[in-house]
Amino acid sequence: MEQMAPFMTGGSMIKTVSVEGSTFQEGHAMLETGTPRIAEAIGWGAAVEWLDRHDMKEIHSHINRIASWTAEQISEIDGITVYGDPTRGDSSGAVSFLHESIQSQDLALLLDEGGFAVRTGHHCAQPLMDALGVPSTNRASFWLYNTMDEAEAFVEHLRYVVDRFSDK
Amino acid sequence: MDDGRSWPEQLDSIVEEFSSCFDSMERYELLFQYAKRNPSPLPVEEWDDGNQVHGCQSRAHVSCDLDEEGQFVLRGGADAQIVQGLIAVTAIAVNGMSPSYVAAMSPEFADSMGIRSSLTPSRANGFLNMFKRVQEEASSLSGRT
Repeated sequence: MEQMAPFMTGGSMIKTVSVEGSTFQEGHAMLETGTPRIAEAIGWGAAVEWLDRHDMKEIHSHINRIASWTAEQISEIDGITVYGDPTRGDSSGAVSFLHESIQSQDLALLLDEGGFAVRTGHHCAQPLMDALGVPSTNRASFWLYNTMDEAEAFVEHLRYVVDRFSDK
Repeated sequence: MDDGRSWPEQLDSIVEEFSSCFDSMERYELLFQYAKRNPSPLPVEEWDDGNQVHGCQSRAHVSCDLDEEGQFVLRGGADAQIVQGLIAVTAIAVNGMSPSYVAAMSPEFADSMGIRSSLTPSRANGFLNMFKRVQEEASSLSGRT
């Protein structure tokens, strides 16, 4: 770091400024130009305080319940394969799946029409996707603010999309 | 490009068909149908880096050439049905036209079909990249006629 030069100049990284030249702070401070991320730090603090009022084990159970139910429901839809096992107690709230004839980007767009945003692609995990032998998957993720009603609506819309757009 | 429209006559009924759709889902359903009716598909075996359209979220490939009569032929394919449908509609528009006509054609037909407003910005850009690629090839091929 001692050998690095500042990539940008401005407030907070300056030590002295004169007509002849300037000197800079040392270490990481030399690279942190401008107003610090004050708003972000305050927002982060508020988020942590809010989360601290919740029981994390309870949150995990809530997420796990919704993800398990969703995975079970969509695995029964013709042509859908669910990857991973969201029923495991230590799994996250992500449900990865793929339909045999509706390409993942197409499916994401059609789900979006129902108001459901899912992640699509290889999820920055190409080696895993290669090992699974699939080019991409769709991924629905749930967290503490999601409800069973929303999961039910998602499954219902997915059924509708598959019924309308799959190669039968 | 007559009668105030900027697309060839063979697209009239398709533009009408898409623009009279009730909603986006119906438009997507039509694109899925056109994907299956691609008049000049490019088989997967012929997909390579040279004919890949960059800037598409999905894999899309187009190959342009002239037939024996010197008329334009677009062959194309994509892994996503919606993109494949867009390629099919574009092929219907440009196949059989002179390359100079294709080079000067506007992608406005996609707006009139109501397609571009339905697409996500990245997909709309992907369509424009594909169309631009076709036009560049048409421009290059028009020098041969």
